Amino acid sequence: MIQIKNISKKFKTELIGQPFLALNQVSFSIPENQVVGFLGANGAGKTTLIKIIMGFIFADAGDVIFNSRLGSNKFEVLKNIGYLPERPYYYPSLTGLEFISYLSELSKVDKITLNKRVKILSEQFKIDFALKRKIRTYSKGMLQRLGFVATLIHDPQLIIYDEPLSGLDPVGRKELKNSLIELSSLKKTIFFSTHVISDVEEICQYAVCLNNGKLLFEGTVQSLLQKHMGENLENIIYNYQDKN
Amino acid sequence: MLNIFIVAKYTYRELLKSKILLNVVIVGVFLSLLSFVAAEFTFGVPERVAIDFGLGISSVSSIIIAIFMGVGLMKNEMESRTLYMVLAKPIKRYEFLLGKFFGLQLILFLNVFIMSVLTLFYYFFLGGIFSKVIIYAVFYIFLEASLILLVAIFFSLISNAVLSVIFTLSFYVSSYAIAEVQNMIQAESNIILSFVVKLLYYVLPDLGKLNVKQFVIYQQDLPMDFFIKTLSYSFIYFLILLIISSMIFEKKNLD
Repeated sequence: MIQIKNISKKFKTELIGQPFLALNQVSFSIPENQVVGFLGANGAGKTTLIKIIMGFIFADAGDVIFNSRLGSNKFEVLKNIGYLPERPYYYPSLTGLEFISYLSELSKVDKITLNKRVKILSEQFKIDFALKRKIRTYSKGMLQRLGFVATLIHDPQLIIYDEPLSGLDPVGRKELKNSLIELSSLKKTIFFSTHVISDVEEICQYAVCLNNGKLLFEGTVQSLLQKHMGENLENIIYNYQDKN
Repeated sequence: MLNIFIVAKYTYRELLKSKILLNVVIVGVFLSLLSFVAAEFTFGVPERVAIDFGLGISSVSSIIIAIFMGVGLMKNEMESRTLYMVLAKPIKRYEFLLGKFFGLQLILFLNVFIMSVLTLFYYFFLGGIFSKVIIYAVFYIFLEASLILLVAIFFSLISNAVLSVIFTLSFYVSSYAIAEVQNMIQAESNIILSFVVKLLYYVLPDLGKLNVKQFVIYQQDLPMDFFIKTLSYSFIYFLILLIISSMIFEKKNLD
């Protein structure tokens, strides 16, 4: 679905001094119709790479190549992507419904489809009761749930979540995991970052792992577990990191 | 074009639901009181004093909104990362920028409109006579505030919030003073100073030209060629600032 080719990115943290290398020649691919876990410790470069994929920041080197099925240009591609950032922050004076309408109008979703999907998704993510309330009255978990509805409202082919499980309580985590499995059964491609390895083991078919801006490994979760018989994913990644 | 309209619509809605309108009403009440007091202390022409005060406060409040909200308009989007969800949609960055600008411009229009209605209400109450120059004056207040709004957005794209406010305020004051300074400097022999002033004279807009309150106070007609010239001048300035701001935003790393 997406090919990441030799992406490098440096950040200048101080006026004088060496720039910080956030991503170092990272290459991997996101296979179609699979749930792909994007693993890495805090500061590994996961969010930076997602921002590069979305075009918010520009790579110093390398390319992001989208499958032609997503579209032939950036705007067609964006029509088919649903993205939820880490710690999403919305317009506090708008209601949840207004915010969803805002994003769906930009995605050119017609009114009838919008109403149908708002009903289905808001009930699925249990936020239907609060849609007419101003966003400033939402709790952290409610904001996250609103984000899931807004991300899926235009029925995207590729869903990119940055740390989607971080703000949720155990029930919310379980519900989101179920929703990811359900989306996967609908032939959607899901790419989500996390540092919780058990989540990847539980719901992903494919995993990509970054460590200090470098690719540690990519491959199916199954093959990784088979290669390291008897070990769980947490230990395997820990050992990988230790070696590198 | 449709995307610009959508962003403008929701920006306007968001700002309208925030506390901004409450501030406008408070300033409006303050304006009415001030106009009343000023007119009471005047001998002979209280309606002229009322309209002078009214238009003045309308202009100042619009400039304050333009500077402070203009700086926050894009800065808040970038710092709180609300723009990620929007820019993840099929929208060009310049469309987002223009939409935000037009959304806040509508709030400015609302502010100028409310202030002007209050001013005119009191002006007519004191026996003032309607003149179309008043409409021109209100229009120029809106035009000036829109220009400063764009300048605030421009500075917010290249510096932090505090510096952006300082730069925009300096820009506003300098734009009023530069024509006078240019006139005075002609007698000055310092070549470097003359060059700097001349450069600023061409770079900064002559905001004094957009202030037509004296036409209202002295009940003069506004020449049509003056109107056309100032309008074209403002339009070109708008266009240049919009293009530069869009180019900066297009290349900006939103991290």
